[in-house]
Order: sequence, then structure tokens, then C-alpha cells
Amino acid sequence: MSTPLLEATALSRTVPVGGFLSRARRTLLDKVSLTLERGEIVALVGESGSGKSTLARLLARLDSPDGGSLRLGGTDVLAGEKRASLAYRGRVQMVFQDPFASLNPVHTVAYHLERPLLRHGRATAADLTSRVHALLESVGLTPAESFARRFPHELSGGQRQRVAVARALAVEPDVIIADEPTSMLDVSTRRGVLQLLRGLTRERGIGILFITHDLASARHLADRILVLYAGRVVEAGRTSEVLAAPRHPYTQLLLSAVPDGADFLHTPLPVKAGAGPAPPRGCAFAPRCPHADARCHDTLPAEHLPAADHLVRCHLESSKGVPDDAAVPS
Amino acid sequence: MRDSIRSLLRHRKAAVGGSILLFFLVLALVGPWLVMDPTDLVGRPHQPPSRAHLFGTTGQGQDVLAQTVVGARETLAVGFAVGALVTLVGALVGVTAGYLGRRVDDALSLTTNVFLVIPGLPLAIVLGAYLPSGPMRMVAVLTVAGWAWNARVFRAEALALRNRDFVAAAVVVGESRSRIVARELLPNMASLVGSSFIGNTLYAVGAQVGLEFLGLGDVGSVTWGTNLYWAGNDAALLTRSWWIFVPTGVCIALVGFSLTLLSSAIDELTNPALRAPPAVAPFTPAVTAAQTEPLPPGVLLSVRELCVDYATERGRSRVVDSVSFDIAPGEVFGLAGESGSGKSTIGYGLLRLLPPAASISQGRILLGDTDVTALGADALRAFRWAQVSMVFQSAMSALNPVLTLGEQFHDTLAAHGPSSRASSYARARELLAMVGLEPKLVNAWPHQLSGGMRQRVGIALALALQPKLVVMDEPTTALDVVVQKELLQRVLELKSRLGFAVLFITHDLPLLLALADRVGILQGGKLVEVDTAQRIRTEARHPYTRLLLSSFPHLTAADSDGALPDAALAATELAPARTALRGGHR
Repeated sequence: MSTPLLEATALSRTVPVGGFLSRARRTLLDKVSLTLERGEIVALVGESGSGKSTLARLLARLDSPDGGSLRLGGTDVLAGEKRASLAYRGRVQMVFQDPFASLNPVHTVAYHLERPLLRHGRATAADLTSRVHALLESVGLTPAESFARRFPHELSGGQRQRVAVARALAVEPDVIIADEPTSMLDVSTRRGVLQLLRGLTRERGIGILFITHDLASARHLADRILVLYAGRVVEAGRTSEVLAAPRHPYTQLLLSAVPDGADFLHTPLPVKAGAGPAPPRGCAFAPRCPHADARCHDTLPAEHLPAADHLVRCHLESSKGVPDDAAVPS
Repeated sequence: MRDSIRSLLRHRKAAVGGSILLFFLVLALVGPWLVMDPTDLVGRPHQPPSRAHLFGTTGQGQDVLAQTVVGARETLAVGFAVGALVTLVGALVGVTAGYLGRRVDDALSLTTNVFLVIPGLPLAIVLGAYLPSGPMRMVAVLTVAGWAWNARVFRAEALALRNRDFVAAAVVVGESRSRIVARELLPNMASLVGSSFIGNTLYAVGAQVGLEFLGLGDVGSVTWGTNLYWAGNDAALLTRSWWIFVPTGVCIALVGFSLTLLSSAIDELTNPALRAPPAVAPFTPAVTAAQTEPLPPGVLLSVRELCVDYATERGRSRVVDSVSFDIAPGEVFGLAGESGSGKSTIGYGLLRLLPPAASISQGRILLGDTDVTALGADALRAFRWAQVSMVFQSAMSALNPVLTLGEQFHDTLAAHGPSSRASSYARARELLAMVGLEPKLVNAWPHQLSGGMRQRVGIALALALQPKLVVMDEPTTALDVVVQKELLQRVLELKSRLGFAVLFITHDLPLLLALADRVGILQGGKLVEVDTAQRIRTEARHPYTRLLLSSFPHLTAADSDGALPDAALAATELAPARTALRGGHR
């Protein structure tokens, strides 16, 4: 097997909590590993506070991890350098959640695209304008001359997000980290942005990490899916497999909460009400889990591989034995 | 930039303030050549205004007019110099501290705070004793005494801007730190720099005049402050020689007035929320027969040909256009639409909670026998919450952070009839239990609750007075899907128990179709389709409804690949279809 495009191994991040002199730290991300191949879309799903955006910021090198390694094309990028090199920035780009905040209101669309082109030497002063126009056309903003002159406030949310995608594309990256790129957009605009992302993987072989809380979009877009809960990966695998037969109780809970179908509000949620705090050593989901027993509160479940490419971190797996026993009553 | 200067000129406050200031600037520049030497003893002391000396003479026999005119030069020069220096030093220190953060911020913030607590006057006296005399001493003293407050303002602004995504985006692009500060942060602070500069100049003029009046300036120079100092020394008040100090006093007041006007004009122009809504011509609504029909039986609320207009600079803009629908008792009626479709405006309109710029220009809202559109102020206060209540989108900001939950329930209950604190708290416990929260949370503060719990409190508050209709404006948009489903199941259960009707406003059509009995689709302020949820799901007629329906990906396998055509198609065909379908609003 060849080296993956982007490979994160056991990434952790903690932040200090409490006052000036406090030594206490809270764990946001606990030994998360993931790989991203060329031309692949990997979805990262989970509730707010699960560590999705923390992981995105680590991979975009906006923050530094406390532990773990990060390899881009086989090279360890964390070793030796404290801040990300320009070369890394040239290969890994990010699209932010809120297109109303990610474009600077005082600069034109053209400025937003010229900067990465110049900074990474992807264009010379002579062909700068034509490159900017080509980028705008590639994300479907035509006529490009008119869009290039506009300011962000003169664009709709969907158009802004296309500019943000164009900015990420300007450096001709290998990896794009898309942090909930459609959650702030109107539904009729969402689809266009999602299709744009999918087109990029097909045409240019870019690998995309798609962060979302919307399982339905993840199902349509992603090849593989990672489910994050309280800073840990609880289930990972091919999207079709994970969503057709979710094995972790939290994945099952997430799926049953997606508004889909007329009787969605009439099916009960597979969750325990009145959840207490997460146990310090056991599984973080145990207080809410309808199947939890004593060992869930005492020991951290190991990673089980019920099938190739399918990872589940749950004690239920070890009692199940045979891997095809996926139908957990919900 | 050119646009903002042009709008500044059109602004009345700015125009008046600017003209006064301009007058004094011209006076300070050319005035000294037009009048006699202010230090010459040209006449007898304490002479009232006369033809020879238009403003009279001082206690030593100098010309007051000349002193006032010449005094403008140094006063304003020092004022603007200090204003610029204080702004520059404050912005540099503040932005550096705010952007770099951590250790640098700790050190700079500590320094700033130390300077803030040093009292300005003693510092000025001490510095004045060691520095050589002259206008530069005044500039130095006032800058040292004044920069710290400004640094705090800029630090706060830099902290807020630093966490904006466009700064993170610039980091990801690979921009250097200095370039991010210079090209991304500072241009966004242009209005703050402008208003700070004016505010600081105002401070500088005031502080300078004060110090000089106390004799702490250079008493040999001619400034407005020394004019007042000499007026005091020469017993102008005792001899009732008002002409000696009134001209200078009026000049100082006028300069202060003009600077205040300019500063407030900049505030208003950069923050449109401070501006009064533009006046638009009054509009007499046409009353049609359909609006005056009595309420048919089995209808709780009837909205008839409702129009809501926003007053804008370009005249009226209609955001809700002839919307009519009925809600039956105990029914869940859903309004779906994209941003700008007017869905929230309708919800706020039902409670007459529209912002000042918006008004109901046509139509009727009937609830039972009440014509909501015609209620007076007192009747409206009694009507709101008791008849129709609301659950707001942002649970974070809908609860008052400085009151416990019990107090907020007590506020609501006591506003609608006598209620002792004890009985309010008892009712609050009951309501909290009803929405699935622990009754002891009655003593909790909003910040101790999660987003989902706060929204439950919002629902409990909305049900406190047992209204007939609850308007829910995107109550679950900020929540996770699991929390959303828990909350909505609770709402449906309460509804079947208590029998209230719900107007549910959302952009999430699949959710609405599962929740609502009937659904209205809004597009550009117009209701394009109203039907039962079942029929909208299976046989929507309007093309916009069908577009909305097809925009949501589903979890079921049926539409797996067919529903998402290629990117090329989306980029070219979906966009024009959308613009064609949208109304002319926004």
C-alpha cells in the first residue's frame, strides 16, 4: 500500500483551563488518527464539542497538537518546525464555516485570490489577472471580471463560499479541509457548493476532509466517514457501510436524529435520559448509552475491527464475536 | 473609502460639526496675521467692547479679540498633535497586545493598567517640572497621561477581530504576521481610528485648557487656556469684565461641540443600528373585503393580506407581501423559506415586535375577537405572551444572563397580573418539570445550562401564561440533531397535552414536514404554496417548493446518486434558476 496523502497518527490537543496559575488542562482531542487519500472525501461527523473543529485547526496548522504525528505525503511535518512552513500552506488549504466571516470586508474578491497566488508564486504580475479570472470561472462565478471587482458584502452567502473555495484552490493544494462549508448557507445554495467540492476530487485528485454535523450530506459526498465523540473516534469506515449498519450506539443515535421521513419525530431516540457526567476512565458515551454496563464505566473500550476498514470503539463489539452481527436493536 | 467620505458629507451632524471645526482651523491658520499682536499693551485695562477693540481689553490692556484668535493656533495644534499621538500609541500597543496575545499581552496589559491608575493631574505636574517649557511639553504630558485608555479600546477590538475567520484564513494562505496586522486587521479598524482620533483631540483640548488654567502650562504663550488663566489672575470676575473670558469660553465650547458631533456622526455611519430609521411618506392601507370578514369557526389565528415594509434610504421595501393564512387551535403550522424570505418578520409581526424601521403597512391579524394590528400600547402589552408567546432562535441571548431562571419566570408572571415571588417560583418549578428539566434549576443562572437546556427554558417561559399560540422562530437551528429531536418530541407532547397551536418557522423543510400539520412556503416575501405536510411532501406544485425539496439530501437509498447531478450542471443551471425564482427583495 502506498503512503497516504495526509496521515495523522494519535493527534491530541489539550487546552489550559482555570485561572492564571492553574495547571489544569482539558482534553479536546484524544489520540485521533486518520488518513486521507488522493481524490478521496472523508467526512468527520459529531456533535458540537466533539472536537471536529479542533482537529480541523490542527490539520490546517492553525494550532499545534500536544502529541501525535502528522505526515504529508510521507514526510513528518511536525518535526523541527514550530510554525507551518510555506510549503505546507501550499499543499493543505482550509475552507471555513462562515463565509460572512472568512472574507475580509475591506478587500475585493480579486485581492483575496491574488494574495495566495503571489505568496506561493503560482502567478506572476503579468498573468495575475487572468489567473484570478480563471479561478473565479472554475468555481462558477461568471462573468469573472465583474465578480473580481466586487467586495464581499456585494455577494450572497453561496457566492462568498465559492470565493473562499477559489482562494483555497489558488495555491493548487493537494488537501482541502472544509469545516462545515455549507451549514451557514441557504439550502438551494448548499448543493452547488457540495457539488463543487465533489467535482474537485474527481477532476484534480484533491483529497477533502469534510467536517459536518449533517449525516445526509456526508452520505452523499463522502467515501469514508469518521464519527467523533468527546474527542475520540468512536466509529470509522466506508460511508455506505457505517450508515447502513452503524455499530456504535452513538452512531445509531446520530442516525436516528436526522430529520428524514414523515414519522421521524415518532420514533424514540436510542438514548438514556438524565445523563450524568462522563466517567473519568471509561467510555465517554456510557452515561447516555442504552446498552452500557459496568465495564463501560470502568475501562476505555479498545478499537475493534469488525470488518476491513471498519473501526468501532465499543465494549459491545467484544461480546458480539462474529463481525456480521451488526443489527443492534435500536 | 470614497463612498464613506461622501456619506459623511451628506450626514447633517457631520456637516455642522465639520463646518464649525473648519472655521476654527482656518481661523487658527490665517487669523494671527489679520489681528494685532496679542501681547502688546494697546489700551487701558478692563475696557468693555468698543470700536477700537471689538471684544474689549484684558486686565493688562491687551486686545481680547487678538488673544482669542491667536490662542486658537497653539490650542488646536497641541490638541490635534496629542489626538494623533495618543491614537497612534494606543493603537500600536493595543493591537500588538491583542493580536500577539499570551506573554506579550500580559506584559502590555499590565503596563496599560498601571498607566490607567496613575492620576493624570499629578503626573502632569511632575512631568511639567522636569521637561523644558513650551508646547512640546504639553504634548508630551498629555500623551503620556492619555494613551492607556485608548490602548484598551484597541486591544479589545483586536481581540475581537483576531478570532474572526478571515484572520485564520490569511494564516492558512501563508501571510506573515506583520502583513496580517497591517493589511487585514488595521483596515477594519478605520472607523475606530477615526472616532478615537476625534475623541482624543477632544480630550487633549479639554485637558490642555484645564492644565493651563491652573497655571501648569507655559503662561507666557497665548493659548485659550492661558487666556483664562490671566483672566482669573487679573480678577476678571471681580471686576465683572465678562468680555475677557466669554469669547475664549465660547470658542472652547464650540470646538468641543463640533468634535462631539463629528464623533457621533462617525459612530452612526459605521453602526447603522444607531441611526433613526429614515422617514418615509405615510401610507394609507387599502382595506379589502377579505380583511374585514369575521373569523370563521375553527380558526384560532387569521393572517389576512399582511404586508410588512421596511423603511430604507431608497424608500419603502416590502419584505412581506400580501401573506394570508389561518391556524386552527392546536395545529402546528410551519413557515419555511430561505434567508430574506420574510419568515421571521411574519413571526415577529404576530406579536407586533417588529424593529423600528419595519411596520405593518397593510392587512389584518385576527386572533379570536382581537384585531392584533389595531391594539393600543396597553392592550398590546396585555396581549403579548398571554395570548401569543414566542420562542426565539438564539437561546443564548434570549435569557437574561444576570437573573436566575426563577427571577425571569417571576418577571414574566408578575408583568401579567399579581404574582408573589413564592407563587412565581412554584409555577416556575412546575414549568421546568414540564419541559423535562429538574425543578431545582429554578435557582440556576443561564450560563450554567447547555444550549438545549436553555431552549427548554425558553419553551417553559413561552408556556408560562398558557397562550393559545406559540411562535417558534428557528428554535433548534443552533442545536445538535439529537438535542433537536429530543426538544421537538417534547414540544409535540406538550402540545397534545395543553392544546396550544404552534407557528413553527424554519429553513429546514424535511424537519418541518415531519413536525407540522400544514406548511406554507415563503419566497421573497410571498407565500407561494400552502398545503398539508403530506401533500407538500408528495405532490408539491410550485417549482420553488420542488427546488427546496430536492435541495435536501436524504438518508434513504432511493435518491443516492441521481439527486446530485454533476458539478458543472449545478454551477451553471441551478444559479440562474434560483435568481429567476427569487423575488426582488434583498
